[in-house]
Amino acid sequence: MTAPGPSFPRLPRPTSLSAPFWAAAARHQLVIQRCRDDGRYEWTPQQACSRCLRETLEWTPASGRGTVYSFSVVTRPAVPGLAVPYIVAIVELAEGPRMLTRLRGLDPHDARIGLPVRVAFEDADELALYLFEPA
Amino acid sequence: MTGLDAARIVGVCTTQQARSLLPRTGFSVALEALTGALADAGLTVGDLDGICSDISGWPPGSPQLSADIYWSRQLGRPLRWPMRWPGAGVGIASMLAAASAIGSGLASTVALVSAGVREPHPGAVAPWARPADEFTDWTGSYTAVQYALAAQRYLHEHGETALEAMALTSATIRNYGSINPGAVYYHRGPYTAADVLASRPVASPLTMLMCSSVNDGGCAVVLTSADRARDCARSGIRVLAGAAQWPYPSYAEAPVLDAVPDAGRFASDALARGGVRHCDIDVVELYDHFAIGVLMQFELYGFCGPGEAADFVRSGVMGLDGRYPTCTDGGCQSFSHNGNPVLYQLAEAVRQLRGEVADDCAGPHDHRPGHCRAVRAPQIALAANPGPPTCGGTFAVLARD
Repeated sequence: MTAPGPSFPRLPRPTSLSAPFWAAAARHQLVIQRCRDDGRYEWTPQQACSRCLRETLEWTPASGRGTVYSFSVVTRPAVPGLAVPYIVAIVELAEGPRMLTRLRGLDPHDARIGLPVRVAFEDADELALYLFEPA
Repeated sequence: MTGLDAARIVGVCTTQQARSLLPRTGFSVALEALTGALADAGLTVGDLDGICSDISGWPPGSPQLSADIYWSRQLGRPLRWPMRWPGAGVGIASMLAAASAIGSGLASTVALVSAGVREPHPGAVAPWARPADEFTDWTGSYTAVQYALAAQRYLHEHGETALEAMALTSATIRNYGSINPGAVYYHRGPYTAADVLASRPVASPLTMLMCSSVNDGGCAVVLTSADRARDCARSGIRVLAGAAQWPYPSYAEAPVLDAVPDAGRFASDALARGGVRHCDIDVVELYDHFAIGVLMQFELYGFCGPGEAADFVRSGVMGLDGRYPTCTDGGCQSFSHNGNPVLYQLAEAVRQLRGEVADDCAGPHDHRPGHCRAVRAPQIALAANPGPPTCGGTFAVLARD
């Protein structure tokens, strides 16, 4: 293991539930769960569908497209030495779920709610982190 | 009347609150709070049959789950009412559980204790502000950022001018703390909304003065039965109503404003069950961790409609001469945030109802803003604790007996 880069405070530790998500991310593919019975999409990963409560969730590729639901330009870092400013955002995926993430590839002054974005992966050790950039 | 009404809050204590209480330990501060609240009630440790606590560094190396067992060991006798409900924490949810236990005869006298003393962590946000969740921590969205996301969306939906209202909540709350001799930031102020907006940016749109303090301190609250309360040192405080709603795990899900349809229904139902109308409420101790939270709680608890909190606040309701004096001790932002500051709201509500608040009045309370923070003869108070960043919380309504 190498130390995490200065852009992120700490790298995620996948669980047995989230392992398929992180494995797909490492291949630069965004996947989310979908109920094979009623079609409902879930984020974050769940054990069972939050509508029908059946264990019928399957990992399925997401479009990687969405719009910014909200954002914050962070100037006080979570840990000392972290590069600031950074932009934390909630992205509403085309499939419906809202995902906490980071924005990249834009000036903080240009961040706005409603901005169309697409997923962009950044490799970090064995993992890849899912950020979003202007579409 | 509800089953809660068989219990009374009979003792409260807040210890010194300070940027640091080192070299004292969390347990030492907890003991001071516990014995202080028992003395306030005119009860002794021997009267207790339940303790619910959240104490930094204690019990050593053990989960809070078993804290009541360590209390039994420390007291040298077993507690009869085990309070092992980790999800309830030590705040208003536990107070409601304790009142229910007293009402059903499971317990007779219960103490709630919170104390935090932490090692310094220079340059970093407070340890309790760093969620460990795998989908949250890597983004650098510590608690202030989570509330900033909610605040930014709130401005988008309800108008950018709500930012000034957020700043006004912080100025009003901090100005109460500025005249509270027990507050960490006593005599720091007064502030205007413009001062708050001009303070250092943290996570847009939130500035430093819209965020909680980071400090040490302790608090305890003691409840007993209405029967026993008649023999206590002071008249007891009734619990008229209460409820909790926690629709999603904090800091693991994105803090969206529409996580729950009709988010305030849990509160309006509970107020109706307790026979409480908003016009009956005289003082409001919200959980002011971040300025946006104050706006959202006014809406959640039905003091105003959805999206109306900015205008509601701008009308001056939170001040001592306003309709609902709010966070009258200075709240998490000026009085104290000890890592888990969920008993202070109860303690302040009790003190207001008793007419026992300390401030800068030279003589009797004259109820003038600027040096007095005593609400005029309040009968009913609402106190609230946090839920997740949006769409939830825990609250109770207290009343003079």
